[in-house]
Amino acid sequence: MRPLTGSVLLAIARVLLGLLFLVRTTPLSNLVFNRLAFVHGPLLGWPEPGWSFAWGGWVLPAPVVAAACVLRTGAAITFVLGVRARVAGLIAGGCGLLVLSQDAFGFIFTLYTLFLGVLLLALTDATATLALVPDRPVSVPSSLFTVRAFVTSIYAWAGLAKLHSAWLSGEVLSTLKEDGILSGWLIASATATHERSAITASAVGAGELLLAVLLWVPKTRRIAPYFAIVFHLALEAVAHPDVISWVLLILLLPLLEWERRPELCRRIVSRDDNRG
Amino acid sequence: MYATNVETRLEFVGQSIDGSQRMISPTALAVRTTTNTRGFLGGADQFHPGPHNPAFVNHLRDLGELACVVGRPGLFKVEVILTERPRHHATESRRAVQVVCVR
Repeated sequence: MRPLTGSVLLAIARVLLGLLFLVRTTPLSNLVFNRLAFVHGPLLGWPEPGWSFAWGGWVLPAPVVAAACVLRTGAAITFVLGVRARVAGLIAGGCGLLVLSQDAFGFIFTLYTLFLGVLLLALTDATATLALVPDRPVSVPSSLFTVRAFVTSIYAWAGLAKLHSAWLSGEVLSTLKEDGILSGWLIASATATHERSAITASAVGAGELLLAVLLWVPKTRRIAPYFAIVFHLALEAVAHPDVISWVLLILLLPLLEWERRPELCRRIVSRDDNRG
Repeated sequence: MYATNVETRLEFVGQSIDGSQRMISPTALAVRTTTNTRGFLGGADQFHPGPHNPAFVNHLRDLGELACVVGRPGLFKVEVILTERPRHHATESRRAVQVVCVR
């Protein structure tokens, strides 16, 4: 078995994110995910008759949008397979954003993050390994730096967006529970009283900001992705927020720094050798 | 996604050439739009809960232009009023734009 080095983990992230991209932008999403991720029409963002509201008022002709949808899907397939995945990822992510721009009321931060994530991985060494037609590797450390910076920015912005009284008082959390957007024993327990709601809400906001810091501090950067994984699993348990947790779980994969755990890598390789 | 939870209402006040005013239902606009937009406009003249949606703010003028089309004939201008308030609070914030209908 191939050791789980940074380049291999990046490549695994590419394959998984590419597959998630393919499912989420096609009607397969309706079979796999909940109603928040429902895809109308043959492909996500397929042009419909009716008045359109595009970013900046730039409404494109329907055939152009349809072509971008098809190109996006084709490029995503080659991104997964690793056939010139750098170019493929740039096309898939670019077309994803282009189609997203045509439906201002259909804007979802999850999709924006997914498309940016694909663009980002396309620019890294994720396209140089586990690929049918690999790209030339550039630099694993800078690739990991880029992924870490992107993941950090998501936690930082999410934490900053919660720095307002309605969130910190626990009101937003309570109303989300009232509306049935958050459910389950975990959220019921965490919002049982006003005080608990306020503590939970503040802890979530502070936790996201803290994660953004811990991912960079040398002593904590190894353990921080595991905290993030636990956070996303908890979020999935209470909210099922489209596919944002899956996007981040995949992007956290290369940050696990397995190659710096020689003991673990050796054990995996030797187990594989024994089987062989 | 979950950082805010507000109530939003959207009103369209049409003014005819003779000076008379009439309300235009957002639902009447909804049927002329695409699926995602329809979901936001249908029944939007009543307060609805949801996250703060920048699309409303950014496209008030475009929505006004659509209201001009829906409110034909004889409409001179449309005032689009977006009202937002935190859940369980009476404090409202309002944004309004006026769109002159092209004849």
